[in-house]
Amino acid sequence: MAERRRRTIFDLMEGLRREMDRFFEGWSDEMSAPPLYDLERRALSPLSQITETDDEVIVTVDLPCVEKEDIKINATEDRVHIEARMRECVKLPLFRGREGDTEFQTFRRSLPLTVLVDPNEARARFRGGILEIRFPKRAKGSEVRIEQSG
Amino acid sequence: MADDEEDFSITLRGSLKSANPAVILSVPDTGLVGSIAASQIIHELAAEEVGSIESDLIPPVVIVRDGEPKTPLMIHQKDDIVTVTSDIPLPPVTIYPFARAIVKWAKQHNARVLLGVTGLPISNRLEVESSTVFGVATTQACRKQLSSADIEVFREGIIAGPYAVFIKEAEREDVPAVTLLAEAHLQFPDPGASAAAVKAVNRFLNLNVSVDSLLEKAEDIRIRARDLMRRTQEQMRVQQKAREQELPGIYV
Repeated sequence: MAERRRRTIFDLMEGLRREMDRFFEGWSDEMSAPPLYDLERRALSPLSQITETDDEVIVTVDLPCVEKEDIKINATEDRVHIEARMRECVKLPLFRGREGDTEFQTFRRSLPLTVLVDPNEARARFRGGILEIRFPKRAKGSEVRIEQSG
Repeated sequence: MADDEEDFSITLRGSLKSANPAVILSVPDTGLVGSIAASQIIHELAAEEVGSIESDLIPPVVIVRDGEPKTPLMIHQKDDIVTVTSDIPLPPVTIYPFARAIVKWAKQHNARVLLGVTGLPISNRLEVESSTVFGVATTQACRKQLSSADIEVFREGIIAGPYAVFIKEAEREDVPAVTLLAEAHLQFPDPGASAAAVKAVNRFLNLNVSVDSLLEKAEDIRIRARDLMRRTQEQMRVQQKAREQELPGIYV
């Protein structure tokens, strides 16, 4: 039978290292997320959310300072691209530490969809600066019958 | 003066000049409702920075404002209103020790109430014109106070994340605590819900904080809060915030 060992300073350090690894794991997602600013195009990437029901994929996009008429949506069966011009230029102090603001005038985002959809049957609405697009799923599937038992 | 509680150290510049303050607590969470609301309260009351909270467990950042470095966890005060706020979402490993430290600190300073302010995610937020604010209270007296303030008591549901821990810790330490939950978008900054939350705070604490400037700047706030919202989304995923849209288990 193996002898039970007392916890040493090295065990404690190992525990601490594992704790740190767990701690930093949480950060890696943030760091790998796409940037919220496209400086080349002077475009902001809007916050978005994709949810799914049995029949639909629902894309919700936060578009403050935007009018309905200024939103362009282009969708394929596996991706949706949204571009929206803002009412006026938004100035953000992006390069912290330096004087001056960076100006942005559009929102722009291309989102991969989780399942294939029918883009021609999509419906969209815009309310309170939030865009909601509902895509019917493409694969409808076939009915599966349950066999009679016995 | 430093109050050490395990991993968090709370330092005040002087003593709190209030015998039994109301402590308003906000950390980035659903729709950033608490963060936006607390910022409005601090701004409108012209509350002064009176202390800070340090910990080796929080990400190594300082917030530089007008050339002055600040810790992301701050304490402000105006008369008997004290706010404890965080400019960064709390990593899950910090939630328990942070809640324990704050609750113990509130108890030491004889807080008459520890008032958490946050959002309650609802899936049909687009259809809801004005957010309803609900309250969860740890004592019967606080529940009565909620009713007097015309705030609906949150009767059934799940609260996940930092505010769930604040409530549990406050109950354990016998500190009167209330958490206000304004119906909000889960993943987008929601200044409308924050305004509803501020109005509820006004009624509960008998304040008169205006929400006019908050509503005027709502769209601007939504743009500027995107970075914080996205960082918060990541933490909320780990904290199982989506569970707040579920019903609790019912067995009888």
